[in-house]
Amino acid sequence: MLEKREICTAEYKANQVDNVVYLIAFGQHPNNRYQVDFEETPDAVFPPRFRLMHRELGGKIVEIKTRFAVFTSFQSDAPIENVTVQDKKGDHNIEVKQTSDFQIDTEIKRLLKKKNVRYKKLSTTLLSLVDEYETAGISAAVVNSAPVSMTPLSIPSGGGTPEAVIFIRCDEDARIDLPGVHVNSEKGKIRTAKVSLDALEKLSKQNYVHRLSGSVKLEPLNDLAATKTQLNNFRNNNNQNLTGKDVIIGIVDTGIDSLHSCFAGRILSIWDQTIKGDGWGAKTYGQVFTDEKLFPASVDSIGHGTHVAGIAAGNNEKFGGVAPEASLIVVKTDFNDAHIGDGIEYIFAEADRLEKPAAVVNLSLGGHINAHDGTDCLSELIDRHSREGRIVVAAAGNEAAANIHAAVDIVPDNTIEVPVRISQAPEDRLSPIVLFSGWYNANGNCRISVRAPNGDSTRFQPVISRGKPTRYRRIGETLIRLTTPPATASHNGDHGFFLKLQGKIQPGDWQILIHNAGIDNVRVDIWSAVPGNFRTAKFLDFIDHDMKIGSPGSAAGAITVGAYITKNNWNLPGGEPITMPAIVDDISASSSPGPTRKGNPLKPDIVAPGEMIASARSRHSTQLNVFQLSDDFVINSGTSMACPFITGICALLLQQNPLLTPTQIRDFLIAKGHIPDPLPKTHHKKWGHGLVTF
Amino acid sequence: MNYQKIDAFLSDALGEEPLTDDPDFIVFIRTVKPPDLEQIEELKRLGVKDASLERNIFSAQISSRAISQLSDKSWIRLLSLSQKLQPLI
Repeated sequence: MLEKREICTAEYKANQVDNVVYLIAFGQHPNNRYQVDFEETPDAVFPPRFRLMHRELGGKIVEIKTRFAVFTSFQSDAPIENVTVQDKKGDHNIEVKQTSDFQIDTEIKRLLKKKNVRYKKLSTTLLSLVDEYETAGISAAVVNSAPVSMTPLSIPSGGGTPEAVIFIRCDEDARIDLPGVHVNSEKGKIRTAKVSLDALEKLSKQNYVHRLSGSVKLEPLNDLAATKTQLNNFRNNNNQNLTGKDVIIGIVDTGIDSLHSCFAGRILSIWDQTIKGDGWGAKTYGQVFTDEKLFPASVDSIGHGTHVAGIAAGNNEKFGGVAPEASLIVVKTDFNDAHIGDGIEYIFAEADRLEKPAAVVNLSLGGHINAHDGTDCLSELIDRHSREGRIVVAAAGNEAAANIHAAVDIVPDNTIEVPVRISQAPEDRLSPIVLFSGWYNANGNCRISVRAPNGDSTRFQPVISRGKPTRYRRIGETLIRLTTPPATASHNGDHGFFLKLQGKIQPGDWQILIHNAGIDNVRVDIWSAVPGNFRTAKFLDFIDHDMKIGSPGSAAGAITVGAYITKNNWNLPGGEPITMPAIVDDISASSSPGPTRKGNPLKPDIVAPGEMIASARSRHSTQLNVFQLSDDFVINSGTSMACPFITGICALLLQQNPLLTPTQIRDFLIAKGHIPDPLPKTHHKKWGHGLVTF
Repeated sequence: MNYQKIDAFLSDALGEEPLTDDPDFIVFIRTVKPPDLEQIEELKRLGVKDASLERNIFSAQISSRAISQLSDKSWIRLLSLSQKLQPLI
């Protein structure tokens, strides 16, 4: 890893031309040892502050005077008087000269010509990365991104342009929908996104984008989740020191970093469903490891499972979990819901075999190709497996802000057109599938058609009761597969239709046309899903912001958890705070709301801290995290984080009484739930029964 | 093949290809009630290895031909395609 040290003899100049401020540093070194860069201090102040960083290069050192000149820029609609630059000599307050273009300082002009200023909204770190990528290629950019506080890059699996996780400062309602740009929120003035380096230029040219900055590594701070819920009151209640000892916590997820210090000596077994092996019992897929020396053969390359396990059961003084002495059984799943069900069965069967009376399984996962009513097969398996001492906890989902659900009420003999926008797939990754799952009551009778952006449409397809109910049609290069079976071909006795678009899907506005051919009014619910999230398919009208808890969150037998915000800020290196646009003591904006499609079961059950939660980081994780604390710990957000908090609490409850049933545990949590004023204290579609508070 | 016992997702996945013996489909099998011994043998023969007396829902990776045969059984309630979920990142 290349080192960065601040060694400086530089002079500075700054010019503002219209709405762009240019800052230049120039000087001379006695040799060619260093490369010089500006680095923006990653805080929320404006105008930005900068540091001049010297990076030691490898290779032969030549003792010859070496001049350097580097520049950076940022946008400002208002005139800027001064810019602060920090180097080894201290802070320098640089006066900004207001100039027209032709008066710009000679040095800056020379550099601008050389540099090509199309990236004027980019922070210095991003500019540096782009420069490395364009001049020296992928490997240079990735290596140079590695040092502390630089923006980390990743290479997509299968190769392609490096991607960076960045902050986007933009208009609050800006709709960011560009190839190579994957935004984590659809609203807000500050958003995080994973962006291909090739897409940065186009993104920076959008009028609604004000600034693009790289993500950074943060200073560790105590997490507030335990404080907010007064967890320690519960742990130490009645002079007990509850730690989850003798309780098994099962994690069905992306795996676990078995060598992480947070879990030392407590993992009992790992079933890796993704690799070849002898499987478990009649399930002859995957490999079970019970010898801890072999655990590292199963790798958590995504990091999600490790983080979740750490929240539930990590043992660490600063970032420990809720039940730090619970034992762990881990299933690294391939995310087929049938195999997730097998994973639950495995965990409970192992608990039986080990004669452990208490076990709780965490499911921080979900999907929307189902009826959202708890009748899908995985939900039913959860209902069957749940009993005294055998608890399942599921996350509500993170789709509250995503337009993935449309609902229409149609009178007889009428047709409603439901518009949905399908974004263009990134050029370097293929996503040939967009899926829609639609549901209406058994006594309804609907005909479905699909219209493409170019106006071409399929014929209306009725319910097909005889023979194969799937019809295939092609519009241009898009293959449309529509399945309209009778109500008998579903778990819940309702009509479920399935629409799949495949191939080279025309990006743009499609319509799903629904004609009510029955004699009664009918309500139709449709959910969209895009495997891998390479594209998005967002409804443009008839949007229903409710009913976004899919499977397994809608399972009656599961305790379903939404996410609550206990923290929205962290201190950065140097002590400066960064604040995310999230309101503390409120529900997370992304936490999926209920109700379930038929209103019963009531979901979610409860909420727990799920925003900016610090927990264990997998050494093998290739997934970028905006907020990495160290090699061992990282911050993540979502109902995936809230869910294991409750899993841990279930473990503490089961330590007290291993024979508690799911109903008893749910009732206990509901009794501890707190919904803030002025909301009514009955069940709420986002809060459930409230934040668990002891 | 009795499509009245095959859910929409599995129907789509079966496509238009001829039936084969390749175990390409991860499915849930729901019986009308917990199977008897003879039905368990039939299920195992068709690839449902964990069929048992205690319950009426099983998962297996089986072929399109096995799906077709199961769908024609009166004691089969429904065959459903396993769905791909995602970690909630």
